[in-house]
Amino acid sequence: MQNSISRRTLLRGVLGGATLAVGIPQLEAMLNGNGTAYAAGGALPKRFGIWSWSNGVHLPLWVPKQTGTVWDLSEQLSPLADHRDYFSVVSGMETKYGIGKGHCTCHTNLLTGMPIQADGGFNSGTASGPSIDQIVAGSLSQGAALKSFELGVDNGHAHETGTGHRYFSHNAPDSPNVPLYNTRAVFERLFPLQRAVGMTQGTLDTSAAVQKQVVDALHADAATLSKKLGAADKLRLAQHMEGIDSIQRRLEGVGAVSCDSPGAPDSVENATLDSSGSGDEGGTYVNVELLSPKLNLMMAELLAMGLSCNITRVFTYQYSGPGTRALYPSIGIVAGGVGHPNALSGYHAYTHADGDQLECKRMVKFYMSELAALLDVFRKTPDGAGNLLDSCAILATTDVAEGLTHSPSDFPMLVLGKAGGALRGGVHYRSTTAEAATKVPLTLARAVGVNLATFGVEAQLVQDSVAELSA
Amino acid sequence: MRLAAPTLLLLQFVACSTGQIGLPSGSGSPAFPTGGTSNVGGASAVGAGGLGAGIGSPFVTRMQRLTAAQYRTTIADVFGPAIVVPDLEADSRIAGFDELGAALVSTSARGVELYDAAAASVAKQVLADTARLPTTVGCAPASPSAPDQACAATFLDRVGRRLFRRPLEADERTRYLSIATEGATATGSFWGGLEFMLAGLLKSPLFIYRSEWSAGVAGAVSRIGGYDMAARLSFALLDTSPDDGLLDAAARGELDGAEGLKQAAARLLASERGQLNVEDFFRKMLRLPNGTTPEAVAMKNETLFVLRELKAQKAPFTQIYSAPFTFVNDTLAELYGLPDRPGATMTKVMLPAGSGRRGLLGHAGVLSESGLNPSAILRGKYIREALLCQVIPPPPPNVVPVLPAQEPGKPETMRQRLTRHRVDPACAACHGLMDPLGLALENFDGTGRYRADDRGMPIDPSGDLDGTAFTDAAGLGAALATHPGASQCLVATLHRRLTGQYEQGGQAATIERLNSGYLQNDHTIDDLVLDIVAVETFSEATQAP
Repeated sequence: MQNSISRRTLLRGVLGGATLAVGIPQLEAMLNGNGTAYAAGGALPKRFGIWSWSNGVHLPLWVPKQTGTVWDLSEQLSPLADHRDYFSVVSGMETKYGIGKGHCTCHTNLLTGMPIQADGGFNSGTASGPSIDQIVAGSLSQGAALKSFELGVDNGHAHETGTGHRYFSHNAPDSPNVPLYNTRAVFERLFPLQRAVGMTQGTLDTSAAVQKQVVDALHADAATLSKKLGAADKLRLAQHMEGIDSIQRRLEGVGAVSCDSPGAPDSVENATLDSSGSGDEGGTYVNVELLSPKLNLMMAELLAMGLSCNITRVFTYQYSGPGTRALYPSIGIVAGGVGHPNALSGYHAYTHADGDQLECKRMVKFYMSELAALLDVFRKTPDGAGNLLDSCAILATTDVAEGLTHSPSDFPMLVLGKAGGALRGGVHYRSTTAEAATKVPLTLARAVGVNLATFGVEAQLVQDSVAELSA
Repeated sequence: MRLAAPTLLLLQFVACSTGQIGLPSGSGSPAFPTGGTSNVGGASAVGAGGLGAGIGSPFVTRMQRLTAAQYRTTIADVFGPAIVVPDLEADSRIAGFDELGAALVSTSARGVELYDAAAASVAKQVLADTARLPTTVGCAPASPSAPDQACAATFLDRVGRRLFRRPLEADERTRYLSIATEGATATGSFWGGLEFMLAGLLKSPLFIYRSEWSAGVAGAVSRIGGYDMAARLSFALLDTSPDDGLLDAAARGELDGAEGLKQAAARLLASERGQLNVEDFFRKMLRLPNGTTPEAVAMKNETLFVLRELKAQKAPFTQIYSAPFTFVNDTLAELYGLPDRPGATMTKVMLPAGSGRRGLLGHAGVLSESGLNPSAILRGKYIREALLCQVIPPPPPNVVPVLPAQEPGKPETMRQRLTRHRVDPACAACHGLMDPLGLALENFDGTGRYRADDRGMPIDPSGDLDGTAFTDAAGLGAALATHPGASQCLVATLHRRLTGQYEQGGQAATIERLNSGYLQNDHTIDDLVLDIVAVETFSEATQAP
């Protein structure tokens, strides 16, 4: 049984070597005899996640040849071989609003169920409503310290107008949840009282009554400002104040967990190569590949801690943002035009290049190996009688079906985890009727107990789960 | 002050379905994405603005968040450059400007946590240097270990006015002084109390956001004055919070009238920071390199130095597209194949005839923008979108945006290949607008170096810009310099940056009036900035519903 693994040793991975005191999630004393529920009677929590990669796949190398429960891993799925029983492949579905504005469109259509915002053309790249992770978090995260958690590895996303070009998770139009790309920042958000020296709030943490007085003053200030705002801006301000209240609730102990807090990890994030233009192909470029495997492992372990300690139950791991421009030198994605840094082009440019795109094909496998590393960590993290992945429903997807075409057809989706027994795993479901891809997020939401009647609008309005995925 | 003469809108309407350019027909529903869209003025250019009179509608107010850059500069201005501001949530750029995104994009829960941590960190740093505390605070407390309302008030009145960009109201003052008192009692330190108070001010939505004006009645229009105008002016012209001098001017009512406003604006604009802010605008509008390597800096400076020279000559901005001179250092001179070797200093040189290199479209920073393998499509898109403010709609659904395959052993020039893909009418509608412009730059590779041929095949850089034929890149530059959309695009983009808002549908008349004045009066970029500060869309606002 997974439980026989020493909890103290399992998370002693890359985070801090042998000296790290790791979190002790889901203490056995809190569980019933079988480890299937809390001793006090409540069910163990389920978790919901989005995992994203960039620039799509190569469909002929991606889609498995057979369907059902007996199928061979495709070339690009081969890095996931160790986790066959824990994931399903969905193919043949599509998002229903075309290629739209490129890298902001398909994933936003998929995750919000809606078209991207049409705002006279200048800001049309944003979501029209909340993404599925936030819809799920609305009920699944009740009582948790953090409603949701967003983190990432490669921050070299697209730069065009509209938050859909940058982010997968949205609360509302123009309201993205920006990932954390730095391990220390992730740690400090999960364990805020363990801030590193120099980052502590010092005396401000110690005087609860004064802190409360400050929060009251902030609300009074918000009321003053609110008088000058229209309805749309009142919502923006209300979201800000909810953020302040959330901090305060946490200081007052809401969502407190019984995990041991681990020591702070090293501060690791990908370097930014700030030497490029500010146009469509410009912005910042990151040299991702040198750090990614280590950074991914650290992020995965921190995320596993946050989930198993019940600090949060909903996450978006934006491994790589829409249309990333990042460099992955060992894959062959390198800076062009040495001596003329404005010509840096990154992964995205390679997907639009002529030829057989060998580098792009390697990139898809690289992303899948990074996903496999995350699954490794989740499966090594005990949770109740099983492991963390047993309780998760994770949708892994990307921003376009294929980078060259920005196509929404045959959209790549993986369903990971068992959702506490609600998901079957090990299935390849292929739609032969180009069903709306929104069926998949609906299926996952229901798998974690968020019983939405429908999801999506217009041609993406769906009411049926994908039965083949369910246990 | 307002130009009374009716002016004809020069709006360009890109209707890709026909590939034609003309005046917009009618108004109303956003043309995007099913049809084309106008270049400036929003979807319904003929709105409530009173087109005939040339007066545009003021903007409906939007709450502006300080951009991360504005936050950092403000902290440095108020507390000194040594204060380290921790990470803030990344801005979401809209239409090329963080400032436009800051009027629309919400702050995430994590973003609020970052503000919280930044406030605590800044407050701690400001009050950490005990030796400098009396200078920092402006007084010494009666006891370092007990509350002192009078001394706390001295600090609050000075710093609070800078952070809230106005004096605190009586109730606000009472609340924050109470925090200082209770904080001093709880921590046993007067300074601890001040730290609580300062952190509170920095966490306040009244610091992080601004909404410049309200009549309290949806749809009502009124003039922005006083402290609200001080903030508007300072963020527009200096990208930071107003300083004490500007706040004092606001208090004296000097910003409430047109003349005082103009004088204050001229003073800010003439400052070193004001001039850097204008150059930062051009860097963003023209999408110049923003790197710190010597090459990136040289590429950016080439364009900025040409703009400075044009201003010194009192020549219109649009000559940037046709200028026969440029500025190079050794690196750029070598790249351009020039005989000059001016060393490391950017030096003015005349461009030789015949190379096709003239004006902005010959600058390395622009030519290298689409990558090492230059894309004629992206170069054409850049000209249409960044330089002419036209919005090219995305490909229609069901179109697979992939160039036709090349046959092995039959190499084609980029022109031959793009001509083949425009055989498809669904592609031709929009690509007919982009491709010919990009193909005019085929004589320059992805680094900006001249090439006479494309892998041995001849390059044909000739084409047509909205009815003006040209034979090469220099000809395209000349056509751009006289294109009515070029100056209009500059005006519209600068208007966006200075007002902090994208057109909402009623501002086209103002933009066109500004453009006419700019063209007729041989105005420089500085004149144009002051023109914009003087118009109704800058000085008035409509209360949002």
